Amino acid sequence: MPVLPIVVALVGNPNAGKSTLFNALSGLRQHVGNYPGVTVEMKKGDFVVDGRRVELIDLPGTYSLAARSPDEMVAVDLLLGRQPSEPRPDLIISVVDASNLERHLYLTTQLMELGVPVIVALNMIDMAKSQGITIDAERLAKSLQVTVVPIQANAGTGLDSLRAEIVRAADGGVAPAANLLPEPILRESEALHGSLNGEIPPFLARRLLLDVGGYTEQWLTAKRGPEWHQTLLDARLRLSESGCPVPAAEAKARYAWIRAATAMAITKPAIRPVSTTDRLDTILTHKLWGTLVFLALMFVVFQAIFVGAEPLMGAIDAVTKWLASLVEGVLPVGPLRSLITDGVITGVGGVIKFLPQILLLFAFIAFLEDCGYMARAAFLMDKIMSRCGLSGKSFIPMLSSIACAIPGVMAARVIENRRDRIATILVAPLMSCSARLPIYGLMIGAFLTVGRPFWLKGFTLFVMYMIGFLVAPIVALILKRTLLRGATPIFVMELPTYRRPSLKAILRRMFDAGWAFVRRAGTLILASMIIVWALLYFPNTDENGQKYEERIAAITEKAEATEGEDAKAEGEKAVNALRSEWKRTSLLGRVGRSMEPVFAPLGWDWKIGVAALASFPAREVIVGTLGILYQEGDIDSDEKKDQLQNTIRDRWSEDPIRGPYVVPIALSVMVFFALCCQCASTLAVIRRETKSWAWPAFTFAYMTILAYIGAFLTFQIGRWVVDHLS
Amino acid sequence: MDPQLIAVFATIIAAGAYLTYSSWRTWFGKKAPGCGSGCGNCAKPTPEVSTHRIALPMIGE
Amino acid sequence: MSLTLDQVLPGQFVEITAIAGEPGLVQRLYELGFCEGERIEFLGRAPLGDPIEIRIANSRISLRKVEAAGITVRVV
Repeated sequence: MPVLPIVVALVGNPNAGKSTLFNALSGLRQHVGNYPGVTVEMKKGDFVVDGRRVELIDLPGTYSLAARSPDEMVAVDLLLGRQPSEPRPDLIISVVDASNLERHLYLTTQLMELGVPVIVALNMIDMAKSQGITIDAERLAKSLQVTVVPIQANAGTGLDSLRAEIVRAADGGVAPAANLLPEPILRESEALHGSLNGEIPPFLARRLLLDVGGYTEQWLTAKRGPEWHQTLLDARLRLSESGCPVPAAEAKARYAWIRAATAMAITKPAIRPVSTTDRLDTILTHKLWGTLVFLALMFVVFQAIFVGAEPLMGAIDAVTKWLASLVEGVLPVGPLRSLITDGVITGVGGVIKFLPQILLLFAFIAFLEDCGYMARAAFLMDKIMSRCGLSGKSFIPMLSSIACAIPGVMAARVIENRRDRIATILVAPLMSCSARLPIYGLMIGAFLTVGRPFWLKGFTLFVMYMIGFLVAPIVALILKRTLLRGATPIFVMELPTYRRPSLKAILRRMFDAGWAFVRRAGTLILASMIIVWALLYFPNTDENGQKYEERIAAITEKAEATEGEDAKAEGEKAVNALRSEWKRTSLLGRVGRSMEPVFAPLGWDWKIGVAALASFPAREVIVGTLGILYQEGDIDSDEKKDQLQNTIRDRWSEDPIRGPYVVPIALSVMVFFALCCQCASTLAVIRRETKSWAWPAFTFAYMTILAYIGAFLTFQIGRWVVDHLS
Repeated sequence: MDPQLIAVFATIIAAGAYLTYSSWRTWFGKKAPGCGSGCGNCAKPTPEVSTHRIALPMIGE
Repeated sequence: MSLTLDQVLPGQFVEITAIAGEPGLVQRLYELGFCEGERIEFLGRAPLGDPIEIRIANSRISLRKVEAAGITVRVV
């Protein structure tokens, strides 16, 4: 008979080092966030000890088993074996931070009541030691009556004995949990359990009694009605009269027990030594310095994205050019050649080109998250969030949306209150995600780099990201005042100790992000580019039925045959005019031109309009579409025109009407893309998370309107500035 | 007919079919292929958890 | 002298004497170790004056002034 695997659940406070331990044990690499609540999903992994298979489940970080939201309830249900498709864990590893033992053991005492063997993994012993805290693990184990294994998860210390203990504990029985709660609570919860006829296990009956307004209470009240609810309130009143008010009585009893149990096992210095975190935080959360560091850091990040990525982007550009010329050498003039060179190589290559910037952005995000700075950023920004009726908790989903709105929307699950959750989900896509980086990069590269102060590019990018940070809270405020009225949620957050982020974790994050970006470019963006190419290619004949490609080839041949710069320039001009006519009469060109009055107030011509329209399913498509629209004749391939951004700069500047306003136009395009919801996947996730079609429809509508207004104002104000001030 | 044109039409149909399939899967299917806009999180099929989760009733605000 | 946590000055050490407020918040505070008799070091305020940062046991906690107003303390 095959031996069943041992199912082990990892439970602990946020920042207890749970995810690091999970990675170290299972060998599966997964993102480690040094931020409360970053592990929203439960991760699974497995490993083998002495021929026994061990299945590991990583539960979201929590301070207690008092579940208030559906998200927190999932973890409690899983531990109780109430999840239909999940086996009940055979063993719980309670990960605790040795430098803050008492607080972390609070959760452990709750876990010990579940009727499942518990192992305490005493993590971060090194950090505790550096603060002068020493813990006698054997004594601690004796007084807690559970196995205690000292470990240092990030260094891999103590993992072998932890693995051995897992097998031993799973085979051994459950030690009877000490009765730490006062008698009246036990009596009342037993009575409550009896009155519910076994509908919930005894553990949940106790939670029902102790958690005022908790999830179990909400659920049963909705099911059984207010009369039943009154019996619960009566029980709590009786507790209060007998000197055990909820929730204070539980906390007092547990902490008293923990104090007694740890008294002999733990030695602390009389005076707490000043730690590195203390020293860093005197600056980083300082009223003035903290803000300055925050702003400076953001600026450095955005400037570095440009400067650092430049050489690699040039290299990718060169490879794209080389590939295109290779195809041109093999295939004769025709639709297939145009599809491969213009649609696929230039279109997709133009998007891939931004891979170095994406990698750098993620290196910074991973670094800031893993070292613990993100929580400080939330601390600095909370006042703004609370003015808008949201909390620092909404800040987590909004910060993740800088990477991508999808995990951002999903991260909103940590928010207990449904209205706040929906408000956060609706504003998360306003944050500038990494898919917006290509268009920002293109516009800034074309109009705000050459002949401008060196800091302007980083500054503009910073401003684009700040638009999301400023508009999202305003929209949230309006939503909270109208559609989603409710009180400002609570905000009690732990500021974790600063940690040195592991290089491996950062590289892993960069690799994952880069791979996802490339994969998307190779699938969704590729397919979209083929369609966009076709819509810009057909019809490929002029009114006389002559093929444009043949006419272009004829002119090029003629120009190349003749000597002299003038003839060549003339030929190039004729080719460009012909291409322009072709694109204008193409299917998408006709749509764009008929919609020109819509784009005109934004300062856009039909080409920009078409590119924006084509990128509604996925915003990266705009770069490839502009690549096709601004394709230039390659007679005397002039180095200057090798780059799309240079072509766009030249063409826009030449335009007699729009020429003087290129910068306002570029800004208006960027603002439009910053505010618009051009991402079908995000809308799909919003539908899934809100379980309604109305919210994604609403998101799409409000963001499109907002984007249009934003772009309109940007262009009009910019034009006024150009007219009056220069 | 021009062989290049035939190849192009085949490619366009394939691309259109892929887009239809993937958007159908995104909106109506069980598994969401992340937006992949560069985040590591949605590179993998995400909702392994959601299939295991019971749809919990949302009560109270 | 009795005051609430939001009135404490940076650098001051105080001791909790009572906690009041919405049950969910009170319970969360208890879980984080805000028990009567526990010592708190007031570390500082965010740039806009809110939230505040305090140390309790060995962890740094940030909470809003409205939430801190429910915690009665006395200076030690």
